[in-house]
Amino acid sequence: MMSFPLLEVKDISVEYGVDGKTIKAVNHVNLEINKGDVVAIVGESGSGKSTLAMTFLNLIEKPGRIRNGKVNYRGAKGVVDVLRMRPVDLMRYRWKEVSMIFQSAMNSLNPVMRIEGQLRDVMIEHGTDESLVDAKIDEKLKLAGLTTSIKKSYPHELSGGMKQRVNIALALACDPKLLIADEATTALDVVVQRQILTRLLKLKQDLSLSLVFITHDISLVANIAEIINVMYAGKIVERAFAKQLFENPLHPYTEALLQSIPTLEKGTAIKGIKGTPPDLSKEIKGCPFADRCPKMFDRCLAEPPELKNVGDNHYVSCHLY
Amino acid sequence: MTNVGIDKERMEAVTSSRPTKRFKDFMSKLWKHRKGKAGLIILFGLVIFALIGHFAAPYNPLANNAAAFQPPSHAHLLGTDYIGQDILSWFMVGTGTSLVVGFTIAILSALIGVTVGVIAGYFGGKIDDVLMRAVDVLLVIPGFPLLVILQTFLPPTLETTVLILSILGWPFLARVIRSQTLTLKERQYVLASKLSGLSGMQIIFRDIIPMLIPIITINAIFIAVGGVVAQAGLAFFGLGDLRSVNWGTELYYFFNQDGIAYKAWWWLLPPGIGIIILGLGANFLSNGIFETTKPQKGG
Amino acid sequence: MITRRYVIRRIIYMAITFFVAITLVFLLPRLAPGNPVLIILLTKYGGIVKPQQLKILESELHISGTLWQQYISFWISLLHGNFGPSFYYYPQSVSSLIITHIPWTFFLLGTSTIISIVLGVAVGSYSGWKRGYSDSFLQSFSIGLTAVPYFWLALIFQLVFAVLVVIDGTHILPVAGAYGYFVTPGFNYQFVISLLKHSILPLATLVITSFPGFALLMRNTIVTVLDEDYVLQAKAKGLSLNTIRKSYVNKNAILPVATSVGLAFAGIVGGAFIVEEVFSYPGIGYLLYNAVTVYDYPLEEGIFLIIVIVTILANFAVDLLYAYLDPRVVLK
Repeated sequence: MMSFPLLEVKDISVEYGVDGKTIKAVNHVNLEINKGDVVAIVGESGSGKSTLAMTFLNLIEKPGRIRNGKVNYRGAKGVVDVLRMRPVDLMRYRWKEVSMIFQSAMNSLNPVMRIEGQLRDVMIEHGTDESLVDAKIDEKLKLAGLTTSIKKSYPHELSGGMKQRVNIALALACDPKLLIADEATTALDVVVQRQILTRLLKLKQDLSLSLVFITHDISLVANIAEIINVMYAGKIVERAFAKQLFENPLHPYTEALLQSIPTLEKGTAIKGIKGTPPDLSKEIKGCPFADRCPKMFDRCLAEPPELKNVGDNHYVSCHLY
Repeated sequence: MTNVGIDKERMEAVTSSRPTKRFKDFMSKLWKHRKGKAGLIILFGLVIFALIGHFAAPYNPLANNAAAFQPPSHAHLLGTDYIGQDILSWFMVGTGTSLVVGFTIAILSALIGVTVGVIAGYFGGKIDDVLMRAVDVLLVIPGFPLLVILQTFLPPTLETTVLILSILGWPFLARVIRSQTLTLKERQYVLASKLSGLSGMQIIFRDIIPMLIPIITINAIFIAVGGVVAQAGLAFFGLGDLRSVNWGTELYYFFNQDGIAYKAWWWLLPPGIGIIILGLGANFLSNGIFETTKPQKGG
Repeated sequence: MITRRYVIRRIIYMAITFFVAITLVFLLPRLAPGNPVLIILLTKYGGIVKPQQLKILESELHISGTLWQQYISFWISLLHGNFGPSFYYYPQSVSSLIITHIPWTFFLLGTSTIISIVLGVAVGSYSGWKRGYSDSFLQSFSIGLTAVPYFWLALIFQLVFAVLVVIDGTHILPVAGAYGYFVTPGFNYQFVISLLKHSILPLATLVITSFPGFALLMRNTIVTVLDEDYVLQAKAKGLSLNTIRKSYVNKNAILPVATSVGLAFAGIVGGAFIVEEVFSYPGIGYLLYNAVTVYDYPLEEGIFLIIVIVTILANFAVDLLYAYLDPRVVLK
């Protein structure tokens, strides 16, 4: 059952230096993604989930910097640390092994380049044979559910949903093993959202992809993710199989998240989460959720909880367990 | 609850305090900004220099009782020109004239530019169309040849030059002000004022123009510098009042009265350095104003 | 994308601009004090003239009849490309004077604009990519240069190369004219070399004072573009730095520079005119300077109208180029 993970994040920390303050965006996080997994990382904005995803591609840029940790990727030539690759190898690794659909799909296409060109350059630079490129462009556009005629368009001529599909086509351009979707559907309306998610899951089946969903909306991944990680203030606070997490949320924060989902059932009132996330530029002595937690007790303020297995691969970082 | 929707920015800028207090706050902020401080010091220095020139220049700049083309000496710190006038005195008095020229042009241009821009942006429609087309026409006609042709047929006085430069100086500002007004008039507090029954003019003076002051100031600073340079360029071309003592006429006489043949570098350097210092001071100051008044993120 | 409607509308605007300029040129001298015929008679013939000469002069200068008749005959001449005779160079026509001088101005303007843009874009993008110390140095340097007035820089060059740095009685670089006395104009080696040498200082003056503006603009847009999501995505795609730079950053960052060229051009025209004055460079700026000194109004007017046409057309060309560079721009 236990195989060596495709991607293994080990004890990673990322900081941002802004206005002389250091913000600890990601704080000693561990994560494993196995071949064929569909993993979700859920959290509010500012929880560090996007920053964490960026480290998979070694894309952290100033003013951010990776403080410590490793991102081990198992490729054809064995396991390598993505953060310590030579620039040439890193260029080859990016998109060919791991690709990403960015949060701001509306702005992540080059406005002055035809769609075709943006698919072509990445294919050529990753070694696709010139004579095959045209056929491959058509293939990827179809995979993403687009008609091939749009390849002559410029981004501004497409609707939001179409742009997002172009981003999917782009992400598939070099047949990656792992695809990260960072809030890939947030800006779209519900119907299109559904279509795109279904498309991604189908692709996962057909192309034996591994998928990572990054989202603030836990309900969105309820039916599609196998494993859900809940992130809060730069740390993973709970990790479990999706079914387990929804049936038996352990961390008070996860509970609150689940309660904030609007449902059709009667009698369950929607509750927002009181308070605001902690200031990550300050040292937090105890549990970062303590001052918003309804179940807080003395120990929560004194020492930080560790992420521990409480059985059945259900991990939680809370002094209650 | 209702106040939440009203822009905090404007609340702070307009309603929180009296104008004098606001001005003091602004100045102290500007003083803490490195470039803003440098700009203030430089421009203030130029003004002081010009004032000293006005009241206590070493010589009468138009008195020609020394030998011509003398290099700098104790008697004449910046030497003398082609008819033995003291260059330091000429330069000091000229600094004053040039500064007054720039300042006047900036004020007049800003008046026209703000009026046109706010009217076009606030009222929109036909007025906007007509005004903006006029701006386009003025922006596209090359300034210098137009200045030359106007100055040729108008009386050669400094006043005419200032007037012409003011009439030509505003179009760019009008365009900037118009686009700013377009965004401002959609703000919550403007809508609130409209609902409370204020007239267009009242809203313009109460809610819009006060918000535009930083951007008007920044543009006016550049118009002033542009005006000084344009006036100097015109004078250098032999146009306008050539008897006026200013940086432009200093260069004109240098070029036309054998300054080059006599290698009179002491005559050439002062006006150019004056213009450069003014330009740098203006640049620093406008940069300081821009950075201290831009809306804070998340504010 | 450019629609036909846009082109037609633009042509109408250009016509309006030109109409305004022509009417201005017509009215100004007629509102100004002084009879142009008397001036020309005094300056050229010392006041002695035959009656029929006076008649010819009056009709050619469109100063007989009512204001409306004058205006109409003025237009008719203009539409024939006839700007009338020059006061000072009479009987030479304004048109022929402009035609002989304008190539020099085109040469100065064109070359200096192109060099300024290329240099500005190169320095600006280097500065924007590099950040850090060399960036802040280049920025302060450019800001300093934008404050330098071109006429003053031209005079400095004159002073330095005409009298200060003269080795064994010869100048390192020529400081006046467009080519040497002893070369024959034409496609021969000596002429071309002489031409290039004579253009160095005028061009240097224009380029040094106008490229920093482009550099600062380019630098700022590069910095903004580098923050764009599509650049981050391009990096994630594992594209080479060269591709990112060329297709993703520069292609976008050049757009604001392209829009600024139109406005900057009007400024460079003024610079070129004064530079021609200082270096006695025989373009229409030098011609205009001479016209100003000898009160040759028709010549001044002709030069003004020509330069208005050139600038309007240049602006139109820049707008079309911009629509070509940026697919998002719809000119309709």
